[in-house]
Amino acid sequence: MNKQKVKETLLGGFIKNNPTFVLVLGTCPTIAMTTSLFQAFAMGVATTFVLIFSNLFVSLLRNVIPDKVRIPCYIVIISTFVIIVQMVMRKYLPDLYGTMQAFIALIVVNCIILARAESFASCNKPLLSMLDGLSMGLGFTCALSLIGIVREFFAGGAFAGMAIPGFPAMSGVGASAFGFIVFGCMMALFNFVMQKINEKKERAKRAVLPLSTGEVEPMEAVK
Amino acid sequence: MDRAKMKPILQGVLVLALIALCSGLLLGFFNKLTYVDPLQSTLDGFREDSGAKGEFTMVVDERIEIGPGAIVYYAVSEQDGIHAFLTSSQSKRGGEFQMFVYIREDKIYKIVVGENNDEYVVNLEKAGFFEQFYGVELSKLDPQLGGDFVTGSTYTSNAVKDGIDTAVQYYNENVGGKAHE
Repeated sequence: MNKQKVKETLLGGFIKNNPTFVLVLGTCPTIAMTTSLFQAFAMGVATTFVLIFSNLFVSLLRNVIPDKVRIPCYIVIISTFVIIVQMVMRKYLPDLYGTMQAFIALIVVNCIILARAESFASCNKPLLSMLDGLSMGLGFTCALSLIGIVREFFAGGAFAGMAIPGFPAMSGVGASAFGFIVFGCMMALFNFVMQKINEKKERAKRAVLPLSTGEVEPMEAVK
Repeated sequence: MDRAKMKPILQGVLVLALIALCSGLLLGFFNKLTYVDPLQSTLDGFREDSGAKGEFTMVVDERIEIGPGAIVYYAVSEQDGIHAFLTSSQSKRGGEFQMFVYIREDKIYKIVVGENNDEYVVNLEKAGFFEQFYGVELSKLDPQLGGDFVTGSTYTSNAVKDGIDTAVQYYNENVGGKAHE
Protein backbone atom coordinates (compact mmCIF):
# COMPACT_ATOMS: atom_id res chain seq x y z
CA MET A 1 0.00 0.00 0.00
CA ASN A 2 1.22 3.49 -0.86
CA LYS A 3 2.65 4.99 2.35
CA GLN A 4 1.81 8.52 1.28
CA LYS A 5 -1.83 7.56 0.69
CA VAL A 6 -2.04 5.84 4.08
CA LYS A 7 -0.64 8.94 5.76
CA GLU A 8 -3.03 11.22 3.88
CA THR A 9 -5.99 8.99 4.75
CA LEU A 10 -5.06 8.82 8.42
CA LEU A 11 -4.51 12.55 8.83
CA GLY A 12 -7.28 13.54 6.45
CA GLY A 13 -10.21 12.62 8.66
CA PHE A 14 -8.50 13.83 11.77
CA ILE A 15 -7.45 17.32 10.66
CA LYS A 16 -7.84 18.30 6.99
CA ASN A 17 -11.32 16.85 6.54
CA ASN A 18 -12.43 16.74 10.15
CA PRO A 19 -16.09 15.64 9.91
CA THR A 20 -17.29 18.04 12.61
CA PHE A 21 -15.19 21.18 12.28
CA VAL A 22 -14.43 21.16 8.55
CA LEU A 23 -17.09 19.10 6.75
CA VAL A 24 -19.79 20.03 9.32
CA LEU A 25 -21.35 16.55 9.17
CA GLY A 26 -23.18 14.80 12.02
CA THR A 27 -24.38 18.02 13.61
CA CYS A 28 -27.35 16.34 15.32
CA PRO A 29 -25.26 14.13 17.67
CA THR A 30 -22.72 16.93 17.98
CA ILE A 31 -25.31 19.13 19.67
CA ALA A 32 -27.36 16.47 21.44
CA MET A 33 -24.60 14.29 22.86
CA THR A 34 -22.06 16.85 24.03
CA THR A 35 -23.65 17.87 27.32
CA SER A 36 -20.93 15.87 29.08
CA LEU A 37 -17.47 14.61 28.16
CA PHE A 38 -18.27 10.98 28.91
CA GLN A 39 -21.38 10.95 26.72
CA ALA A 40 -19.59 12.75 23.89
CA PHE A 41 -16.67 10.33 24.03
CA ALA A 42 -18.97 7.29 24.10
CA MET A 43 -20.89 8.62 21.10
CA GLY A 44 -17.63 9.15 19.24
CA VAL A 45 -16.38 5.64 20.01
CA ALA A 46 -19.70 4.09 18.93
CA THR A 47 -19.63 6.04 15.66
CA THR A 48 -15.98 5.10 15.07
CA PHE A 49 -16.80 1.40 15.45
CA VAL A 50 -19.66 1.67 12.96
CA LEU A 51 -17.53 3.71 10.54
CA ILE A 52 -14.65 1.21 10.56
CA PHE A 53 -16.77 -1.88 10.01
CA SER A 54 -19.30 -0.40 7.59
CA ASN A 55 -16.41 0.94 5.49
CA LEU A 56 -14.75 -2.48 5.57
CA PHE A 57 -17.85 -4.33 4.40
CA VAL A 58 -18.85 -1.74 1.81
CA SER A 59 -15.35 -1.95 0.40
CA LEU A 60 -15.34 -5.76 0.41
CA LEU A 61 -18.67 -5.85 -1.42
CA ARG A 62 -18.02 -2.89 -3.73
CA ASN A 63 -17.70 -5.08 -6.84
CA VAL A 64 -20.75 -7.17 -5.96
CA ILE A 65 -23.28 -4.49 -5.07
CA PRO A 66 -25.15 -3.21 -8.16
CA ASP A 67 -25.10 0.54 -8.56
CA LYS A 68 -28.89 0.93 -8.41
CA VAL A 69 -29.28 -0.69 -5.00
CA ARG A 70 -26.08 0.57 -3.43
CA ILE A 71 -27.71 2.99 -0.96
CA PRO A 72 -30.17 0.40 0.50
CA CYS A 73 -27.27 -2.05 0.73
CA TYR A 74 -25.12 0.50 2.57
CA ILE A 75 -27.96 1.27 4.96
CA VAL A 76 -28.44 -2.45 5.75
CA ILE A 77 -24.71 -2.82 6.43
CA ILE A 78 -24.55 0.33 8.56
CA SER A 79 -27.68 -0.54 10.56
CA THR A 80 -26.28 -4.02 11.29
CA PHE A 81 -23.28 -2.51 13.04
CA VAL A 82 -25.37 0.10 14.81
CA ILE A 83 -27.58 -2.66 16.24
CA ILE A 84 -24.46 -4.57 17.34
CA VAL A 85 -23.28 -1.43 19.17
CA GLN A 86 -26.71 -1.14 20.82
CA MET A 87 -26.66 -4.78 21.94
CA VAL A 88 -23.15 -4.53 23.38
CA MET A 89 -23.90 -1.25 25.18
CA ARG A 90 -27.17 -2.58 26.62
CA LYS A 91 -25.34 -5.57 28.04
CA TYR A 92 -22.12 -3.98 29.29
CA LEU A 93 -22.92 -0.25 29.77
CA PRO A 94 -26.62 -0.20 30.72
CA ASP A 95 -26.54 3.19 32.46
CA LEU A 96 -24.86 4.92 29.56
CA TYR A 97 -27.11 3.12 27.10
CA GLY A 98 -30.14 4.37 29.01
CA THR A 99 -29.19 7.99 28.43
CA MET A 100 -27.95 7.57 24.88
CA GLN A 101 -30.23 4.97 23.31
CA ALA A 102 -32.20 7.32 21.06
CA PHE A 103 -29.05 8.81 19.60
CA ILE A 104 -27.23 5.49 19.22
CA ALA A 105 -30.06 4.29 16.94
CA LEU A 106 -29.74 7.50 14.93
CA ILE A 107 -26.12 6.66 14.00
CA VAL A 108 -27.71 4.77 11.08
CA VAL A 109 -28.62 8.06 9.46
CA ASN A 110 -25.46 9.90 10.48
CA CYS A 111 -24.27 11.53 7.26
CA ILE A 112 -20.59 10.95 8.06
CA ILE A 113 -21.03 7.19 7.76
CA LEU A 114 -23.08 7.18 4.57
CA ALA A 115 -20.82 9.84 3.04
CA ARG A 116 -17.67 7.80 3.71
CA ALA A 117 -19.30 4.61 2.42
CA GLU A 118 -20.38 6.35 -0.76
CA SER A 119 -17.36 8.53 -1.44
CA PHE A 120 -14.47 6.47 -0.09
CA ALA A 121 -15.18 2.85 0.79
CA SER A 122 -17.05 2.13 -2.46
CA CYS A 123 -13.96 2.95 -4.53
CA ASN A 124 -11.05 1.94 -2.30
CA LYS A 125 -9.49 -1.24 -0.94
CA PRO A 126 -10.72 -2.70 2.39
CA LEU A 127 -7.69 -1.84 4.52
CA LEU A 128 -7.54 1.74 3.31
CA SER A 129 -11.30 2.07 3.86
CA MET A 130 -10.91 0.84 7.43
CA LEU A 131 -8.15 3.40 8.00
CA ASP A 132 -10.41 6.10 6.61
CA GLY A 133 -13.16 4.99 9.01
CA LEU A 134 -10.72 5.04 11.91
CA SER A 135 -9.40 8.47 11.00
CA MET A 136 -12.85 10.00 10.48
CA GLY A 137 -14.09 8.36 13.68
CA LEU A 138 -11.18 9.66 15.73
CA GLY A 139 -11.65 13.14 14.28
CA PHE A 140 -15.34 13.00 15.20
CA THR A 141 -14.58 11.65 18.71
CA CYS A 142 -12.00 14.35 19.44
CA ALA A 143 -14.28 17.12 18.19
CA LEU A 144 -17.21 15.85 20.26
CA SER A 145 -15.02 15.42 23.34
CA LEU A 146 -13.67 18.98 23.08
CA ILE A 147 -17.19 20.40 22.82
CA GLY A 148 -18.28 18.09 25.66
CA ILE A 149 -15.51 19.40 27.95
CA VAL A 150 -16.51 23.03 27.37
CA ARG A 151 -20.26 22.42 27.75
CA GLU A 152 -19.89 20.27 30.86
CA PHE A 153 -17.60 22.83 32.45
CA PHE A 154 -20.02 25.72 31.94
CA ALA A 155 -23.32 23.85 32.41
CA GLY A 156 -22.39 21.62 35.31
CA GLY A 157 -19.22 23.18 36.74
CA ALA A 158 -17.64 19.77 36.29
CA PHE A 159 -15.03 17.85 34.33
CA ALA A 160 -15.73 14.23 33.31
CA GLY A 161 -18.47 14.02 35.93
CA MET A 162 -16.29 15.36 38.75
CA ALA A 163 -17.41 18.66 40.25
CA ILE A 164 -14.78 21.40 40.12
CA PRO A 165 -14.77 23.35 43.38
CA GLY A 166 -15.38 27.07 42.93
CA PHE A 167 -17.08 26.76 39.54
CA PRO A 168 -20.85 26.83 39.96
CA ALA A 169 -23.15 25.50 37.25
CA MET A 170 -24.67 28.20 35.07
CA SER A 171 -28.39 28.17 34.50
CA GLY A 172 -29.50 27.83 30.86
CA VAL A 173 -26.03 27.01 29.60
CA GLY A 174 -26.89 23.33 29.25
CA ALA A 175 -29.49 24.09 26.58
CA SER A 176 -29.01 23.29 22.89
CA ALA A 177 -28.67 26.98 22.01
CA PHE A 178 -25.45 27.20 24.02
CA GLY A 179 -24.33 23.98 22.34
CA PHE A 180 -24.62 25.69 18.96
CA ILE A 181 -22.64 28.68 20.25
CA VAL A 182 -19.84 26.44 21.58
CA PHE A 183 -19.87 24.41 18.36
CA GLY A 184 -19.62 27.57 16.24
CA CYS A 185 -16.84 29.10 18.34
CA MET A 186 -14.79 25.90 18.29
CA MET A 187 -15.30 25.48 14.57
CA ALA A 188 -14.10 29.04 14.01
CA LEU A 189 -11.09 28.50 16.27
CA PHE A 190 -10.18 25.20 14.57
CA ASN A 191 -10.39 26.70 11.09
CA PHE A 192 -8.49 29.82 12.17
CA VAL A 193 -5.63 27.72 13.56
CA MET A 194 -5.62 25.50 10.46
CA GLN A 195 -5.57 28.54 8.20
CA LYS A 196 -2.62 30.01 10.09
CA ILE A 197 -0.72 26.71 9.88
CA ASN A 198 -1.42 26.44 6.13
CA GLU A 199 -0.33 30.03 5.56
CA LYS A 200 2.89 29.34 7.43
CA LYS A 201 3.51 26.22 5.35
CA GLU A 202 2.75 28.15 2.17
CA ARG A 203 5.19 30.88 3.15
CA ALA A 204 7.88 28.32 3.92
CA LYS A 205 7.28 26.71 0.50
CA ARG A 206 7.49 30.05 -1.30
CA ALA A 207 10.68 30.89 0.50
CA VAL A 208 12.52 27.99 -1.15
CA LEU A 209 11.21 28.79 -4.64
CA PRO A 210 13.62 30.78 -6.85
CA LEU A 211 10.67 33.08 -7.70
CA SER A 212 10.83 34.73 -4.31
CA THR A 213 14.41 35.82 -4.88
CA GLY A 214 13.48 37.61 -8.07
CA GLU A 215 16.04 35.62 -10.10
CA VAL A 216 13.49 33.81 -12.25
CA GLU A 217 10.66 35.19 -14.37
CA PRO A 218 7.16 34.17 -13.20
CA MET A 219 6.37 32.18 -16.37
CA GLU A 220 9.53 30.16 -16.00
CA ALA A 221 8.71 29.40 -12.43
CA VAL A 222 5.36 28.01 -13.54
CA LYS A 223 7.01 25.83 -16.14
CA MET B 1 -41.28 -8.41 -20.46
CA ASP B 2 -37.79 -7.45 -21.58
CA ARG B 3 -35.30 -9.94 -20.10
CA ALA B 4 -32.37 -7.58 -20.46
CA LYS B 5 -34.12 -5.04 -18.27
CA MET B 6 -35.24 -7.60 -15.72
CA LYS B 7 -31.82 -9.10 -15.14
CA PRO B 8 -30.17 -6.13 -13.33
CA ILE B 9 -33.31 -5.59 -11.23
CA LEU B 10 -33.35 -9.22 -10.12
CA GLN B 11 -29.62 -9.10 -9.49
CA GLY B 12 -30.04 -6.03 -7.29
CA VAL B 13 -32.87 -7.58 -5.31
CA LEU B 14 -30.91 -10.80 -4.87
CA VAL B 15 -27.80 -9.00 -3.60
CA LEU B 16 -29.84 -6.88 -1.21
CA ALA B 17 -31.67 -9.98 0.07
CA LEU B 18 -28.38 -11.81 0.58
CA ILE B 19 -26.85 -8.89 2.48
CA ALA B 20 -29.99 -8.64 4.65
CA LEU B 21 -29.86 -12.40 5.33
CA CYS B 22 -26.19 -12.27 6.37
CA SER B 23 -26.96 -9.23 8.51
CA GLY B 24 -29.82 -11.09 10.22
CA LEU B 25 -27.61 -14.09 10.94
CA LEU B 26 -24.87 -11.87 12.40
CA LEU B 27 -27.38 -10.02 14.58
CA GLY B 28 -28.91 -13.31 15.74
CA PHE B 29 -25.47 -14.45 16.85
CA PHE B 30 -24.82 -11.18 18.73
CA ASN B 31 -28.27 -11.28 20.30
CA LYS B 32 -27.49 -14.69 21.73
CA LEU B 33 -24.24 -13.36 23.18
CA THR B 34 -25.63 -10.15 24.67
CA TYR B 35 -29.26 -10.86 25.61
CA VAL B 36 -30.27 -9.17 28.86
CA ASP B 37 -33.43 -10.08 30.75
CA PRO B 38 -34.82 -6.65 31.80
CA LEU B 39 -36.47 -8.03 34.95
CA GLN B 40 -33.36 -9.85 36.11
CA SER B 41 -31.14 -6.84 35.40
CA THR B 42 -33.48 -4.62 37.46
CA LEU B 43 -33.36 -7.07 40.37
CA ASP B 44 -29.56 -7.20 40.13
CA GLY B 45 -29.49 -3.39 40.09
CA PHE B 46 -31.70 -3.24 43.22
CA ARG B 47 -29.39 -5.62 45.01
CA GLU B 48 -26.23 -3.82 43.98
CA ASP B 49 -27.55 -0.32 44.88
CA SER B 50 -29.09 -1.28 48.20
CA GLY B 51 -26.26 -3.51 49.35
CA ALA B 52 -28.79 -6.22 50.25
CA LYS B 53 -27.48 -9.67 51.04
CA GLY B 54 -30.66 -11.52 50.12
CA GLU B 55 -32.40 -11.83 46.76
CA PHE B 56 -35.13 -9.43 45.68
CA THR B 57 -38.53 -10.72 44.62
CA MET B 58 -40.46 -8.71 42.04
CA VAL B 59 -43.87 -7.57 43.29
CA VAL B 60 -44.88 -5.05 40.63
CA ASP B 61 -43.55 -5.39 37.11
CA GLU B 62 -46.19 -3.36 35.30
CA ARG B 63 -46.30 0.42 35.28
CA ILE B 64 -48.75 1.82 37.88
CA GLU B 65 -49.64 5.51 37.67
CA ILE B 66 -49.74 6.93 41.18
CA GLY B 67 -49.80 10.53 42.39
CA PRO B 68 -47.49 12.72 40.34
CA GLY B 69 -45.54 9.83 38.79
CA ALA B 70 -45.53 6.09 38.24
CA ILE B 71 -44.11 2.93 39.77
CA VAL B 72 -42.20 1.05 37.07
CA TYR B 73 -40.93 -1.81 39.25
CA TYR B 74 -41.32 -2.69 42.91
CA ALA B 75 -39.40 -5.50 44.57
CA VAL B 76 -38.85 -6.71 48.12
CA SER B 77 -35.93 -8.40 49.80
CA GLU B 78 -37.54 -10.33 52.68
CA GLN B 79 -34.20 -11.22 54.20
CA ASP B 80 -33.01 -7.60 54.43
CA GLY B 81 -36.42 -5.96 54.88
CA ILE B 82 -35.74 -3.65 51.95
CA HIS B 83 -38.45 -2.33 49.63
CA ALA B 84 -37.04 -1.18 46.32
CA PHE B 85 -38.91 1.04 43.87
CA LEU B 86 -38.08 2.20 40.39
CA THR B 87 -40.16 5.32 39.88
CA SER B 88 -40.79 7.49 36.89
CA SER B 89 -41.68 11.18 37.00
CA GLN B 90 -41.54 14.07 34.56
CA SER B 91 -38.89 16.78 34.54
CA LYS B 92 -39.96 19.90 32.68
CA ARG B 93 -36.39 20.20 31.50
CA GLY B 94 -35.38 16.67 30.52
CA GLY B 95 -38.57 14.61 30.09
CA GLU B 96 -38.88 11.23 31.83
CA PHE B 97 -36.92 11.03 35.07
CA GLN B 98 -36.35 7.64 36.71
CA MET B 99 -35.21 7.03 40.27
CA PHE B 100 -34.49 4.11 42.56
CA VAL B 101 -35.98 4.63 46.01
CA TYR B 102 -35.06 2.22 48.81
CA ILE B 103 -37.17 1.95 51.97
CA ARG B 104 -36.33 0.05 55.13
CA GLU B 105 -38.28 0.10 58.41
CA ASP B 106 -40.74 2.70 57.07
CA LYS B 107 -37.93 5.12 56.25
CA ILE B 108 -36.15 6.06 53.07
CA TYR B 109 -32.52 5.10 53.38
CA LYS B 110 -31.21 5.49 49.85
CA ILE B 111 -32.11 7.28 46.62
CA VAL B 112 -30.26 6.62 43.38
CA VAL B 113 -30.88 8.58 40.20
CA GLY B 114 -31.83 6.39 37.23
CA GLU B 115 -32.29 7.11 33.54
CA ASN B 116 -32.89 10.76 32.74
CA ASN B 117 -31.87 13.50 30.33
CA ASP B 118 -31.65 16.22 32.94
CA GLU B 119 -28.08 17.44 33.33
CA TYR B 120 -29.03 19.55 36.36
CA VAL B 121 -29.08 16.43 38.56
CA VAL B 122 -25.44 17.12 39.32
CA ASN B 123 -26.50 20.33 41.13
CA LEU B 124 -28.80 18.33 43.39
CA GLU B 125 -26.08 15.84 44.19
CA LYS B 126 -23.66 18.67 44.99
CA ALA B 127 -26.23 20.34 47.25
CA GLY B 128 -26.93 17.08 49.12
CA PHE B 129 -30.59 17.33 48.11
CA PHE B 130 -31.34 13.62 48.51
CA GLU B 131 -29.98 13.38 52.05
CA GLN B 132 -32.84 15.51 53.44
CA PHE B 133 -35.23 12.58 52.82
CA TYR B 134 -33.08 9.92 54.50
CA GLY B 135 -34.35 8.61 57.80
CA VAL B 136 -37.58 10.64 57.78
CA GLU B 137 -40.75 8.79 58.80
CA LEU B 138 -42.70 8.15 55.59
CA SER B 139 -45.99 9.31 57.11
CA LYS B 140 -44.46 12.78 57.39
CA LEU B 141 -43.66 12.84 53.68
CA ASP B 142 -47.15 11.87 52.54
CA PRO B 143 -49.23 12.92 50.63
CA GLN B 144 -47.44 15.76 48.80
CA LEU B 145 -43.82 16.63 49.39
CA GLY B 146 -43.24 20.24 50.12
CA GLY B 147 -40.02 21.71 51.33
CA ASP B 148 -36.88 22.96 49.73
CA PHE B 149 -35.61 22.83 46.23
CA VAL B 150 -32.20 23.63 44.79
CA THR B 151 -32.04 27.14 43.37
CA GLY B 152 -31.46 27.09 39.62
CA SER B 153 -32.59 23.47 39.41
CA THR B 154 -36.23 23.79 40.40
CA TYR B 155 -37.57 21.55 37.62
CA THR B 156 -35.10 18.80 38.53
CA SER B 157 -35.87 19.17 42.24
CA ASN B 158 -39.58 18.83 41.48
CA ALA B 159 -39.02 15.73 39.34
CA VAL B 160 -37.06 14.13 42.20
CA LYS B 161 -39.76 15.05 44.73
CA ASP B 162 -42.46 13.61 42.45
CA GLY B 163 -40.53 10.34 42.16
CA ILE B 164 -40.11 10.06 45.93
CA ASP B 165 -43.72 11.04 46.49
CA THR B 166 -44.88 8.28 44.13
CA ALA B 167 -42.88 5.61 45.98
CA VAL B 168 -44.02 6.91 49.38
CA GLN B 169 -47.70 7.00 48.38
CA TYR B 170 -47.56 3.45 47.05
CA TYR B 171 -45.72 2.26 50.14
CA ASN B 172 -48.11 3.94 52.58
CA GLU B 173 -51.20 2.67 50.76
CA ASN B 174 -50.06 -0.91 50.13
CA VAL B 175 -47.23 -1.80 52.48
CA GLY B 176 -46.95 0.73 55.33
CA GLY B 177 -46.97 -0.75 58.81
CA LYS B 178 -47.07 -4.31 57.46
CA ALA B 179 -43.32 -4.27 57.11
CA HIS B 180 -42.80 -5.07 60.78
CA GLU B 181 -45.70 -7.46 61.27
